[in-house]
Amino acid sequence: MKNRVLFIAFYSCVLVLISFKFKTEPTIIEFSVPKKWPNPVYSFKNNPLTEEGFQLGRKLFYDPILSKDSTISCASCHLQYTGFTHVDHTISHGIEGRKGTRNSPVLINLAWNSSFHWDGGVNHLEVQGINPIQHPAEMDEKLENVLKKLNASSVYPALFNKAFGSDKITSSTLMKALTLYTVSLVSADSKYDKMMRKEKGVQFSEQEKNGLKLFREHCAVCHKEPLFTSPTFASNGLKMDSLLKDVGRYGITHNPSDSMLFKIPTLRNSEFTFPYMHDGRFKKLKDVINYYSDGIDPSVSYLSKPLKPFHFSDTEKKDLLSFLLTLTDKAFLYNPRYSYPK
Amino acid sequence: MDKIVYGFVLCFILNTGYGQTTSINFTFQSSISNEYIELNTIYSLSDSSKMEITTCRFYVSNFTFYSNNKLVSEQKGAFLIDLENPESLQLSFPISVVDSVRFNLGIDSSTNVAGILDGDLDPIKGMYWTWNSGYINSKVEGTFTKTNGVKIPFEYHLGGYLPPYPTLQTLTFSCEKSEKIVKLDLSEFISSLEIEKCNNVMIPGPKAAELSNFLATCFKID
Ligand code: HEC
Ligand code: HEC
Repeated sequence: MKNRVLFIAFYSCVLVLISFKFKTEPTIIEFSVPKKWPNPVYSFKNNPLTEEGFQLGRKLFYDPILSKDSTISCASCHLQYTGFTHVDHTISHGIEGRKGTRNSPVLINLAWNSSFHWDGGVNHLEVQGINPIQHPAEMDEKLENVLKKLNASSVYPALFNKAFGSDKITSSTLMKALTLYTVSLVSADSKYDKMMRKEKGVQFSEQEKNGLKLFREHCAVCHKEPLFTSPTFASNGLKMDSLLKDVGRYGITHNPSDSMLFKIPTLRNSEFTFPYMHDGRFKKLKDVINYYSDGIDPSVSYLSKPLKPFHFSDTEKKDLLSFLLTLTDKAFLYNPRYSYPK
Repeated sequence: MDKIVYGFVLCFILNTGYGQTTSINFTFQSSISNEYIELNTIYSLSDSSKMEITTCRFYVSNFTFYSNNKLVSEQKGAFLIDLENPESLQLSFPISVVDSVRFNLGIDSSTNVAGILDGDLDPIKGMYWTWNSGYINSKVEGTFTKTNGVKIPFEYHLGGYLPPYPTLQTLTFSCEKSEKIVKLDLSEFISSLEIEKCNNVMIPGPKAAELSNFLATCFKID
C-alpha cells in the first residue's frame, strides 16, 4: 500500500516535470524604439511583448464578441486605414447606433502617451479598454459578461494559454492582450521620418520645407516633434459645442484653470484622420489651417499661449498643408501586421 | 526512493512548524455606536431617525506593524472588505503580538497608476472608475429616514488619488491582542453628514476628500 502511494507520487512528479518541459514559452519580441525618439512611457515589465500576446490582442481588437449585441468591435471605431479613428462620423457611434459624445481619437504611437482620452482621464493604457466595453454608447457590455463569453468560447482559452500561460481568462489577461496590440501601433515611417533619417533620395520640396519652418514656428510647441503631440493639455480656442457641453480636462480635475483644455492630438497621418478635434467639427485639414489662420477668437479666455490668429497668406497655408501631408505613413496605414487577422 | 521519503518527512515537519506561528487576526464589522449591525436592515438612531445600509465596501491596504515604535513587519497588498461577503471580513497576518498597527483606508497612488491588476484589485469588483482611472476607496449606500418620515437615499463613492483631493487615509491603532475587531460606526458617519444637502458623491474632488477624511474617524478598534 505504502509503496503504491510512493509509486503514484513519483510518477506524478515525472509527469509534471515532462509537462513543464514541453510547455512552450511565448515568443518574446522586441519593441523597437525609432532612432532619436524618447523612451516609451509604457513599461513592458508586467506585460512582456510576445508574438502570441500581440496576435491575441489583434484578434480581440477585431472581434465583436466584446460588445453586448456582438455587432461592434474596437475596429468599428478605430479603423486602420484612417490611423485607427472613425471615418466620417463627427462623434463616434456605438451599438444600436447610439452616439457617444466625442470623436474617436487615433491610435498611433500610444506607447508614448502618458494619459488617454481627450480629457486625459485614463491614466494607463491597460485600463483604457474597460471604457469602450462598458460605455453604454459604445459596446455597452459588462466586463464580467465579456469574460464569461471568452471563457466559454471554443478558441480563446487556448490562445490565452499560449500567450499568458493560463486557460482562465481574467480582466487582467484580457486588458493586457488588447494592450499588446494597441501599444504596437507605431507610425515612424512617413516622408518626414525618412527626411529626418536623411534617407537617400528623400527630399522635401520647397513648399514642404517652408511648411516645416512655419510649423516649427507656430505649431511645434504643442505638436512637438517627433511625436507631434506633448503630454499636456491645451486649448486652441474652440468654443464649447452647445449640445455636447464638453468642458474637457476640467471634468477630471475640477480645477478651473483646466476648463476647456483638451489633449494635444498627434498630427501623424492627419491626412486621413478626419474629422478633426475632440468633437470632429472640422472635416478637412484645410478647414483646420483656416481656423488657426483666421478663425481663432483671441478674446477666448482659455486660449493657450502662444496661439493667436496667425493670418497666414494663401501660399503659407498651402505650404503648411503640404508639410502636414509629409506625416502620412502608408507603411503604417497598410501594415498587414495590424490588419484584420485572416 | 529514499529521497522521496525524506521529502515527505520534511514537508510534515515544515507543516507542523507553520501551524504554530502566531498570527494577528482582524475582524471587520459595521456598527451603530458599539452595536454590530447588518446590511439591509433598518436601525433606529438615538434621535429616532432611521438608517439602512445596503452597501458597505472599502479597501484596506499596506499593513505595517510596530513594536517599541520600530517597524517589525510590513504586509503589502490590498484587501477589499465587503460587508456582503463574510469571507472578506477576516484578515490574518502571520506575526506575533505587537504594540500597534497602521494601515491605509484605500489604495495608494502608485497602485492607482499601475495599470490592470488582479485579485481584490480587479476592476470587475466594482470598485474602479474607468473614465477617470482610479480606485473607489470606499462605497457606502443606503437610506436615511428623517424623524418626520422623509426618506433620503444616499450613495457615497469615495475615491481619487490626485492632488489636491487625495482620499487615501491612514489608520493607526494599538494592537496588543492577537484578535482585533475593527468597527466602522456608520451611524456616526451618516448622522454627521449634511445628508439633505449632499446625498450623492460619485467623483473625485473636494467632497470626496472631505468625506473620506471623516469616514476614517469613524473606525474604532477593540
Ligand atoms: C463606439 C466607438 C468606439 C469603440 C467601439 C471603441 N472605441 Fe476606443 N475610443 C472611442 C472614443 C470616442 C474615444 C475617446 C474617448 C474620450 O476621449 O472620452 C476612444 C479612445 C480610445 C483610446 C485612447 C486613445 C488616446 O490616445 O487617448 C484607446 C487606446 C482606445 N480607444 C482603444 C479601444 C479599444 C481597445 C477598443 C475595443 C475594446 C475600443 N477602443 C473601442 C470610440 C470607440
Ligand atoms: C497651444 C497648443 C497648440 C498649438 C500651438 C497648436 N495646436 Fe493644434 N491642437 C491643439 C489642441 C489642444 C488640439 C485639440 C483641440 C480639441 O480637440 O479641442 C489641437 C488639434 C489640432 C488638429 C486636429 C487633430 C485631430 O486629430 O483631431 C490639427 C490638425 C492641428 N491641431 C494642427 C495644428 C497646426 C497646423 C498648428 C499650427 C498652426 C497647431 N495645431 C498649433 C493645440 C495646439
